[in-house]
Amino acid sequence: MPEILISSDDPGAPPQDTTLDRRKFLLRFAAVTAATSAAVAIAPRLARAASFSVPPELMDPDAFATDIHVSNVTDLTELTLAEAAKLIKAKQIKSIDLVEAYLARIAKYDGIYQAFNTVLAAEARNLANAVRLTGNNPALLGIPLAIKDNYYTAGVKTTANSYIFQNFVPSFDATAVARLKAAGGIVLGKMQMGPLATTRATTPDGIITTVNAWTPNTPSIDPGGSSSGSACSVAGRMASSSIGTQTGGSITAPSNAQGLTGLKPTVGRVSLYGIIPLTYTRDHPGPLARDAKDAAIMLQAMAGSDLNDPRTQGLPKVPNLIKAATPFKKKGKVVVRWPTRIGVIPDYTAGTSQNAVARAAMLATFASLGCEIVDVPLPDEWSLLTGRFNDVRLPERTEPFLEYLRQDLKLFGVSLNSWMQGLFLSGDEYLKGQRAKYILAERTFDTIFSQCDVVVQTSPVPFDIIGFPEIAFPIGFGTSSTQTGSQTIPLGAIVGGMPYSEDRLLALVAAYQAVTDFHTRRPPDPVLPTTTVARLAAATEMRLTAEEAEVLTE
Amino acid sequence: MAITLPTDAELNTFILARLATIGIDITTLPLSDASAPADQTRVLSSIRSFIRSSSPQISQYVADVQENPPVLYPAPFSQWTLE
Repeated sequence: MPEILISSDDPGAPPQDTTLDRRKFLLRFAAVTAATSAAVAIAPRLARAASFSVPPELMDPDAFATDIHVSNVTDLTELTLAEAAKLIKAKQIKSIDLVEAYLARIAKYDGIYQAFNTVLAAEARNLANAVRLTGNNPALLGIPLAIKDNYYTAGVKTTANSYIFQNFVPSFDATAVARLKAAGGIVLGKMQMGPLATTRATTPDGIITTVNAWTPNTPSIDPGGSSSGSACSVAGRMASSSIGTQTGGSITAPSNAQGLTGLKPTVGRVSLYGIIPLTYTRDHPGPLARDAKDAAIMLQAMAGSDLNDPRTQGLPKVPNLIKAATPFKKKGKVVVRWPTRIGVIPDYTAGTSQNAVARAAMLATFASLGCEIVDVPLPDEWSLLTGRFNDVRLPERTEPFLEYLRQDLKLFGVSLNSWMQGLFLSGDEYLKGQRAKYILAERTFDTIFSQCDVVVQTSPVPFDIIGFPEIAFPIGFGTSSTQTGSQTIPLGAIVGGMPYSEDRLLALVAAYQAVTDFHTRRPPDPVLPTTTVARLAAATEMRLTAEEAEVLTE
Repeated sequence: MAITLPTDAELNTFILARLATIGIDITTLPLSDASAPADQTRVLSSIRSFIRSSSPQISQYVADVQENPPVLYPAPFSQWTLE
């Protein structure tokens, strides 16, 4: 029989399991249990009451424009968020003035734009009239905002443009919305979107709704992805700023299409709690704004750890994004705030297309701002890892909606195909896809970010797959030819960064926007139909087919 | 021996069996109606195309099991694993 050794030494530090926070886990487990027993499994009950403090950066002088005076403003809807914040703080305008100006444009033009699902006019007026200045107010105080209709809004219908949620009224706000409201933001309305965040905005059965604010009388011109209602509300000057979600380009694409600055943050930077899911592991909430400073103000308010979303925990602290988005000068000249190497992927400026010319000019501008421009290769198997392996997202959209698929397939309208496809990838293939995500991230670090700090993109999908951040911004104008003639449209670029590099991306674009004016140009107002014939022509329906929706789906 | 690829009819049988197994009734859709947002014929065609194109490429991909862990969230993972 072996001898049993009994140690009389000091037992040492307590075992490590005593440092685990059981309470946090148990609270969350209880909330999830409650949610899964609810009739609507996708709509969890509030795990804990939301109470968010206002980030102090929103009170910094950098959050307010410096060179604006009401005497120079002819139309309040032209103001950026930072400009409006300055005028409200200086008591040169009131929040209610801003709200009324936007409501007037909504009343006049949204019949053409079709950007809003719900306009909260009375609620917005009440909140605006209740705004009281204390001398140290956050920049968002009294600012009217547009919210994509997949974010829960307490007591306000949240449809995701789907038959499934057509009567869904959440009892609480999504964390991102709660944070914006805690910082003083006013929800002006809920925005049109692609059904369940799939395609450009349409009704559930595919009839096109929101148009591109630059070509409002030509619905065939794409307004971008599923956050097109949010984008149109800002580009069409019907809200100060907006928020959307991105799974396969739905912040960057509508921002590029409509001349805005959109920031898709890193996964975990903004809580997904209270947002109707499309693809759970790669949905990203973020702002679509007028410029880098406005995007920074919005993200500063939205970002941060949330006990209701474990993906937001254990991550780097949210830096001062507003300071990062404030143009930086050296010896009186604007330069990029931090030394930055911009990686350029193969063929980015190849050819003579209007995009290629605008991209080359953009890179030259960045070089003049002190950036180093370096050519970088694409990682091995890039096309496969970002192309075919993009399919592994589909079971993630199917899984939470299975009950609805059992109930009635017609609930999915024109978007049904990709939900059905998600049922036909096997478990081992899904797991292989998660290995492929790791490989793609590792190669992106090794091949691209070993040579540069940020990288230009021609598609948002690769960084959506691995959850890295991207910023979209306007870099010029081009033309789009349609049956009704040639029309002016914005041209845009996308730049991606390493995880949690939103400050660097904002600093880069802030410097660019300090020496260019593409972001300051606004689209002309829509032509309102004046005759019966014109009204009938404007009302002609365009529709996406199921096959088009399948190709376009995020 | 070379594997014979399934025909449309065989795939349809597989698809309908899978749907029935998990309780999804495709007959709630019209059989074939181009004016409807979705119909049975087009849904089956879409799934057949997906099975033929996606599964073979993904399943044949070889990843190093020791070096490449499956990761749902690569970006936060890059921070969670910092030491």
